[in-house]
Amino acid sequence: MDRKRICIFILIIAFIPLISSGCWDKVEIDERAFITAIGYDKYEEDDRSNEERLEKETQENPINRYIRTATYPNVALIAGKQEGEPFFIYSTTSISWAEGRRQVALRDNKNYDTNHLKAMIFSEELAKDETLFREIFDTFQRSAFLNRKLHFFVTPNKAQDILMTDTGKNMDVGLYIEELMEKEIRPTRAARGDMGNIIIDLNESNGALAPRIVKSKDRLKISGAGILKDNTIVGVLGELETRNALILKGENKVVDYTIKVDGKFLVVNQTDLQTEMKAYEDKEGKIHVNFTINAEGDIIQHYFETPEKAFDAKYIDRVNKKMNEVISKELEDLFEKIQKDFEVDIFKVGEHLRKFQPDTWEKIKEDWDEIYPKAKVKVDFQMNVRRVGIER
Amino acid sequence: MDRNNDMIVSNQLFSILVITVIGIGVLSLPRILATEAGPDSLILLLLSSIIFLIIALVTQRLIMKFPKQNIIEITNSVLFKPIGILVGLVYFIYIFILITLEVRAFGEITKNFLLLNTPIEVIIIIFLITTIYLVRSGIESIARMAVIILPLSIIPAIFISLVAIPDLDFTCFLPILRTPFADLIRALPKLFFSFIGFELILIWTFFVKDTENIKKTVISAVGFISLVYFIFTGITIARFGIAENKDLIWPVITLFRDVDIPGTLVENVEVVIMATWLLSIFMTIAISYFGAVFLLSRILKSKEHNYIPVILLPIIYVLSLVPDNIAEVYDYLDKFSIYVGTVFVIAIPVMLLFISFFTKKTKGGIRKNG
Repeated sequence: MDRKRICIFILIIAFIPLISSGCWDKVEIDERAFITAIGYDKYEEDDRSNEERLEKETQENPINRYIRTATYPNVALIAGKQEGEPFFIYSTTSISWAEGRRQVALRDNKNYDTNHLKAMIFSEELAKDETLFREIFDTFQRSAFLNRKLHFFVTPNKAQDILMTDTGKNMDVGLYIEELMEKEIRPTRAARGDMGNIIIDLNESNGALAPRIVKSKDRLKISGAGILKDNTIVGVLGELETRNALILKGENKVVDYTIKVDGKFLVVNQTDLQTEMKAYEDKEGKIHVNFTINAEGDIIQHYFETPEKAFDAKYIDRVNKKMNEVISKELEDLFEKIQKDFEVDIFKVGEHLRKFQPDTWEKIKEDWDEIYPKAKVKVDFQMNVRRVGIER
Repeated sequence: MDRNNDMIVSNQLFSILVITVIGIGVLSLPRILATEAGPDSLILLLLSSIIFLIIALVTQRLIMKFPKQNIIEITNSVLFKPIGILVGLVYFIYIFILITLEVRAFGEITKNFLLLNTPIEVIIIIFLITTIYLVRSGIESIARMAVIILPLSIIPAIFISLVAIPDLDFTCFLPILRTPFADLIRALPKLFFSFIGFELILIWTFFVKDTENIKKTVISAVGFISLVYFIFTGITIARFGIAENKDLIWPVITLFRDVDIPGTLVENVEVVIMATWLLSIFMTIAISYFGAVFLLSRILKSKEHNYIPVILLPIIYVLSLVPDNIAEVYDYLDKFSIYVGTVFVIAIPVMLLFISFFTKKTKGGIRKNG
């Protein structure tokens, strides 16, 4: 009996290390580096002949296609436990996404963790290259450890430069960008695109808006949008154009308009917005796109010491009418620019037809790429000024 | 070694049925629906739910004819004796193969999302050891465990999915009824993997104390399963759109990954949800495992069945590692549920019920004549 007990005891003792030492995935938290932003540039001295000749990179014939830059904050500094740089940056050239990771691993003492990635930046040069664009987007879609909510940016500068910018706030670019994009009063003149939504838009209507980030005078700025189509960037929108595009998409709720009525500039602050798009085919087989936009707003600036008071229903009517004329025209022009110059369906007209006019869509879906640029657009922007402040 | 009296009540049967069916299938369900039916996904799901309810009611009818019997005894009474053993044996093999494939799918999901450096062999073996502990404890413990785990795994998952509501775009389900009806019908068998597990009711009713409530339980279980499927499919497709859903292997897990609860410091809540969801997969496999063990012990006519799960464990382990890759696992699962699943879920119960009408009549006739 005793012998049996001893045997069981020995077995249990032998079994414990077998079970309790089995954690293959253990990484202590202080050994991790939480990457907050990754940037990709195209490798400039691009030796394509080498690439075409070889199926695979070898020791003698390295192929460089990307410059990959990653940044992560100095967590110890944030916690106040250590002095030093507020963030670290590692940059490397590589043939692929994964290769870049392996290269950096040779130089850095931390284990990289991309679960908390906040921003990804493509240089426009890279975004113009369909192959590279698709390679990286596929990685992001495929990986189980990349956050779909991360912000995607294109930049006219080099992504490396953007990430190396000193934000002046003792924080790294990734966290800075995240705060910038998610603050209470959102910037109205830059597109909003998280990775997941851009992928969905590209899948559904082959067109998406990606926010742009630029470096001006050593500071970062979010400005305008890049237009994505066919997995490349086909054009960019300026700040006002982006604002207007977002109004047409119904995403910009709070906007300030500066408008000239009776020779005086006044400012209308839009507080709410309802956008409705209707697309249909007329009898001659032409596609029409109609936008009906209903906005509400306040006059927040008029003219000091003037006999024409804003506190007057007739005057407010005039303001409304003027805005209807001016803004409707502006929005129509923007739609036509995107439609005719870039031929991108970012307003999802095709999707609308597919969902609400399936019979029409069945007829035209094969030739949609040719039909879309010829569609006629009409925008009816209705501003309703509700309040004028506390001054007559 | 009689730890319990081997009796469950119909409420426990409800939990067992629901948690057996909801498991791995739902994770890829929106992909199958989006691929097969496009915008008509929910209609296809509704159609398959209704058909499944009919099948469930047919099975229930069969059970009510032979209360407190399991599939072997039912077949024996309907037909003649050795057939029961044969049918029991094929059911055993069927459940057994299903377990091996599900164990592998479970291992792949865990390795993909949670333990990426741990070898899959270790994940599977530890999982199976845990499972046989529950299986050896008998039907009563399993039933209690099912009652505990059902809300624990489903409520957090649904709660997390509801957080995605502001981002939903229900126009994804337009235009309605544009898919040819023949295509919808043809797609139905592919949805069977999502409902597989229900046929085990042919075994569970043997243990049920209050037989008169079984019909109610069956209807509410199918209703509940369909409701959960509706919620997940509706939210997932409305969130990602049809095109994206076709590309995602487990759209529902991606949905868990996609949400972040506003205003919390906690990011990546999907790890918690995955962990609770694994509990439900664990129960799916444990319950099926018990079903297989029970059938085998009946076939072997052994009174003690506690040693059987231990013997089966190495076989399941080895078989689960047979498919070369994740694509092959799902390939096998698809084919298995379409061709084999259909036979065991629909054909055998319907046939038995049909023959039972026939044999009863002749038996009565003989009695009258004799």
